[in-house]
Amino acid sequence: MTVSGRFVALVALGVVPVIALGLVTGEPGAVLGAWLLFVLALGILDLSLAASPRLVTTSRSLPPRTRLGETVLSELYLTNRGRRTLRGIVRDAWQPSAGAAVTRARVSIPSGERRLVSVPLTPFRRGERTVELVTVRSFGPLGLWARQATLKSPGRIRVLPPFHARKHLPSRLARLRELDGATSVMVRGQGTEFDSLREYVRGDDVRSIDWRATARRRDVVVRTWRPERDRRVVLVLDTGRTSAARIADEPRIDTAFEASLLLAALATRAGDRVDLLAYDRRMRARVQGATGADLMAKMVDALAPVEPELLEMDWAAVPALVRGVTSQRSLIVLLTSIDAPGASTALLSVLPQLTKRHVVVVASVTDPAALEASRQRGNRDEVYLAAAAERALLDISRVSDAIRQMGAEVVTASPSELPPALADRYLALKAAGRL
Amino acid sequence: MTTTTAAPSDATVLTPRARTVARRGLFWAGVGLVCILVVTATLLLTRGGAASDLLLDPSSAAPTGAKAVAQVLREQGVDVILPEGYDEAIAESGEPGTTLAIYDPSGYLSAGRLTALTEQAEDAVLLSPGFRQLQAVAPGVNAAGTADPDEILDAGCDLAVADRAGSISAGPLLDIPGNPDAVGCFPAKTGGFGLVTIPDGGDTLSLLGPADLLSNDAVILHGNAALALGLLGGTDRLVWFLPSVADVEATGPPTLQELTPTWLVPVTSLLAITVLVAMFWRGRRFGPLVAEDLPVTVPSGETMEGRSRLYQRTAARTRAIDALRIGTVGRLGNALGLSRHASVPEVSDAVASVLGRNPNEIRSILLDTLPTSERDVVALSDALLDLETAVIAAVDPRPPTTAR
Repeated sequence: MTVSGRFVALVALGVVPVIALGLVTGEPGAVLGAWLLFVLALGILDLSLAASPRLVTTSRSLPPRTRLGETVLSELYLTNRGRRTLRGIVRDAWQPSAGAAVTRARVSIPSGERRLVSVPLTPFRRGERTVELVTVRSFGPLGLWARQATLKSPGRIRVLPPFHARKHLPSRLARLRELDGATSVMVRGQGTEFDSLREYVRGDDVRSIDWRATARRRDVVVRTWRPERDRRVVLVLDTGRTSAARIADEPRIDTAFEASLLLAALATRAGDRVDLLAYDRRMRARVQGATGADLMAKMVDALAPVEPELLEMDWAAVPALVRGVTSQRSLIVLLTSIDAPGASTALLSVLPQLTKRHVVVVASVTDPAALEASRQRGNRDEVYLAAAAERALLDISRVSDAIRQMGAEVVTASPSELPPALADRYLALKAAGRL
Repeated sequence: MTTTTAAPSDATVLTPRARTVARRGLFWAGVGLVCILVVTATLLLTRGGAASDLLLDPSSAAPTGAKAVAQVLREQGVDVILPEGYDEAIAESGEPGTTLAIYDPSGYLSAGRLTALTEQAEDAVLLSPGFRQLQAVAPGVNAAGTADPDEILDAGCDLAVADRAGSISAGPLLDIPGNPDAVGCFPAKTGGFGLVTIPDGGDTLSLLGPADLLSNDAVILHGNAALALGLLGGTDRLVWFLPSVADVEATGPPTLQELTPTWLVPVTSLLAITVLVAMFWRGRRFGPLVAEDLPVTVPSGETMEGRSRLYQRTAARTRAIDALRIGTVGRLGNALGLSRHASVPEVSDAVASVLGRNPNEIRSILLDTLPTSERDVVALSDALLDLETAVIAAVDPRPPTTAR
């Protein structure tokens, strides 16, 4: 039960009869009592004539997923199964970060009919956004009192990571095509694969002439090469404590998502197989055995609900996880944070196990604010801040050196730079035939 | 993204029905009712025998009350009426066959009101009348002090009531020097009478000096009871009026209450009720709150800033400047194309040779000088920055711009 503003106004309107009739009869107190009884009776009458909100049934029509930043329409159908026309307000109780533009709608549903309440949603957080309840407030014909009921009407929408880094994809794909043997710029080298034989044209590397074939064909024939295919790429995302840190207003984990999505898009076009593990002490997301467009869809779907956990990353379990994914030589990309040497001990201790069998790239976001702070030395406070920033940068470079010494590659960049930097490193490794 | 998922159309209602709420609340309503009953019973049991503060209160069973007399009078068929105020008293005493008893030791009633009351009633009994009351209703009667408390006053007159009583306890006395109609009974040794009756046409005005004899405590002594019943039980109705502060007649300028319009209180109450209704209107929740887990927010620069404040608070100047020097030396080494493992003196010498400056000076900036004050720290940091800019400009392969 609830009352409306109109009822409040009606109660306040009692001032007029209380003064006017009170002066006439000399009993303003009695007039007040009578007025209160009158409005109460009106309210009860109104309430008894209101349609029952309990007799409303709901159904939803929702797109199952959307990208962060896009707007979708959530459709809620309300059917009035009662005998009276329902006039009232409906609240569709979406979670705040589902970004519902309006959550309340006025409806008027005649008996036995169905009405649509559509709410535009612009979610501002990645993950599962849910709605559990619909509250219906049904006013009587006078609009004074209302009946209210909360109905269970679950719905969910999965908000996928935005993948802003896809703008870097066309240029990287062009670079990938350049690597293709058809352009005849490839050098012979370890790891590139033999593709086909064709006639020599001027400009080809003389070292790629296949003399046996030339002898058979009586024509100069060169071997062409293409980049290696069907290699394995394993992306390991650290979803532990440190991934929650916000750098340039983006959590590390989101940057890691962007970088892994770009790398996966690139690698799957290059014919490699990509597997993804998001891990801290438990498996948070896993994508295995998907290729092509399916891979991207599965990845964004798996990553959408992953949030940083307040746990320390368990690096000791990572080699076993990687062994579980693949036993062949692969490119292992560890998307984590490189911090102080103390915090990176666990990572450093397992790296040799990985680098023995695989090519390992450690990717980490650096804080552009630290670099900026190290240059800013206007006053005493800033000098000390610069000293602290230099110390932080020094720590990062020390850990990076240690990682390189163990035979792994390091990619560090600011949040906007990391995805293309990681893609470039992948292309460089591919060009060098190191996969 | 046009795929559609439909929720089961059979939505469950989460809000309980009014009936369910009532049934759930029944237990607590019962508990509340029992509590109220217990409290009421306790109050009744403990307050039932409590004495009222009023003297000669006919409903009080305390020693100073007068419940005994009133009770006996009721049993004798007298209708004992206890008016709440002056208006009720004057209304009740107007009926024929009514005795009016007034006990007003504090003198709340004005002379006019007292006169009006005594004239209205057939018989009137003033208990322990004070000076002003006597002035008002019986101008010829005076107060005559107080008799010795041990003395017993004998009737000493041929008034039937007094004669039946025989003797009464002593108390305040009255004298009748200037009223020839008045009859005095129960004379004291010191002069004065305990009871004075003044006939007024068919009515009688009785003035009883020692009114304490009506109290529960004293009514059993001597002929007190007989006098009391005789005085008060002469008619079928008895109006026993104990004036209170509320019966004081207001004088002087009109009070605030008289000046405010009659509708003011109802209107303010209505506004208060409106405010309550408005609070309910705005405060009624539109369904339950929606809970959502929010992610943790960890600003990344926290450790850096914490460390800088730590340096500053502990005045770790050398440590701070060392951090700056290590960074600068690393960048200078890179700019000059030296090995990453080059020592600081090597870098310092290389910088000196590139810039053509004194090696010792460069070395003191990069290694030797120990900062002793905050100013040194800032100066050294500036020197390091200048050195870096100069070296980078010097090794820049592009031709220097004309501005330099």
